Amino acid sequence: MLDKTKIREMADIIAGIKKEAENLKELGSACGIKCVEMNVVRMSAMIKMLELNITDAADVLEA
Amino acid sequence: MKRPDIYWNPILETMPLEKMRELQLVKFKRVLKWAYDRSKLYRRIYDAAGLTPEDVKTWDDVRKVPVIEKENYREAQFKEPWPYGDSLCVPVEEVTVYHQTSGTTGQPIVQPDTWQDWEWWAETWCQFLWAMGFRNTDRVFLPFGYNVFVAYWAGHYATEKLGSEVVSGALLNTEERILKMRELRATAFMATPTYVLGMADTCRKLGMDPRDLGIKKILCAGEPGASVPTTKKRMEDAWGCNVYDHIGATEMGAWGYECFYKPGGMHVNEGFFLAELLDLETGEPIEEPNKLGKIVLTAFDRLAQPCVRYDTKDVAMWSENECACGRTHRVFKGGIQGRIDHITKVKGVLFSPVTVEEAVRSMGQLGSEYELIVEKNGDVDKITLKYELAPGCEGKEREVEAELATLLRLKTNLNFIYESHPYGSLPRYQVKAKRFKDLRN
Repeated sequence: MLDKTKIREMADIIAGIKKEAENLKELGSACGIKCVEMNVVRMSAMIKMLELNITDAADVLEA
Repeated sequence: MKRPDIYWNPILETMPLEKMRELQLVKFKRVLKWAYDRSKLYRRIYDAAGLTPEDVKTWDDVRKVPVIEKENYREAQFKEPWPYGDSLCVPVEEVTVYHQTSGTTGQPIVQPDTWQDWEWWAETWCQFLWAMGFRNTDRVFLPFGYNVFVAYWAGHYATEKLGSEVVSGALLNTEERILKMRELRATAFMATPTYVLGMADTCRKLGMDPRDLGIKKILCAGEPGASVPTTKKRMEDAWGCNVYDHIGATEMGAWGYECFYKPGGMHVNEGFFLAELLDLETGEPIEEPNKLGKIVLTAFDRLAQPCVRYDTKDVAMWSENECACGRTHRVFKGGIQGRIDHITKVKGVLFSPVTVEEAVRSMGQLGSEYELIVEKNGDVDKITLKYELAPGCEGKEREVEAELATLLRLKTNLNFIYESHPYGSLPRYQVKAKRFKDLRN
């Protein structure tokens, strides 16, 4: 099993990226820039895969 | 632990079993709530059973969640929002891709996926492609007619995501596909077992030995053949490479796979799916090896049309062996053993058509194609096996049929009627083969 602290570190970075992506999407929408919004939709799907692979596991491994 | 680079995600693939169970319970509760809150179909079923997501806290509670079937989807679909109806869990504007089942067992199920769902398809495929040894050095040929079936669409996107090079042979015919594979020096391809064998035949007709094409690995799907040892051997001998099986379905996702170490069955991708094995008569969970049960499957992370405790109709048994790959993902021994709707009584004897495939493909004098027909002769069941002699074996019907009779009597306890057909005359299939026909009803 991999080092739990490293897994948590990855999970924290993923959470940060997710937050930044959401901010970017909001800003893009507010400015009416469709390409920002739609590219973030795709980006968010990939971030979700990171959550499924890393974040969910980190939570259980620490429990 | 093995070298970490054999895993796509070593965290989920080598997670200790008790931690995996914890994770699965968390994820099960999450998808159950999602389905209950968002899908009129699931809410109706759970309300009728007097169940809310909050009632599910333990594994015993999981067993109380109603099992759904294809028929539930059929009843809910082809209504507004068209065509997904009550099974849809997201605004229809968020659906980015449509697929449907082949309709082998009735009205096709339609399957919406969001962009996230589609990423999830690719992700789950990447996990097993990696386990089979696909890498960015591979050039993967897809001899597949891209259409409404999900089949190798997900394989295409996963291959890209993995970093391999993908070549689509969609509109080419079989000969053109083979020539393109040779021209580009493809290292791998994906097809149904029937088509893998058919391509090898076509190769020989073109005057080429399939082994000379340089294919290193083949991924199979759509039929159980790649888990039938004699069919796998035929394919591996024909192409001179490794053949791997995986299992999935439109409404569930791709949930089972054979790794590079070929554990004599298929791993379950347990980080993304829950595969419960239930006793065929009592419905009680089976945890011990070597006992047949039906698989009830949950896909944890699918949004648009979730799949929660879905009766796959597939029959399997757990393996007693751990795989040498070091993954903790459990293994279904020998892959899928059959389908409940194919396992039938013939002359009062339980019969699974896959046993005939095993026998036919174990005999070098026979071609790979066959057809199996059960019908009534008065009150008595009659079972006919249509076969083809391999090229060069013409005139050997008597000895072949005697050998077949001994083999099949041993495997099935049944007597068959045999019909020899010229090589190449029985139907060839590119997608799901329909070799078993029960004409009694």
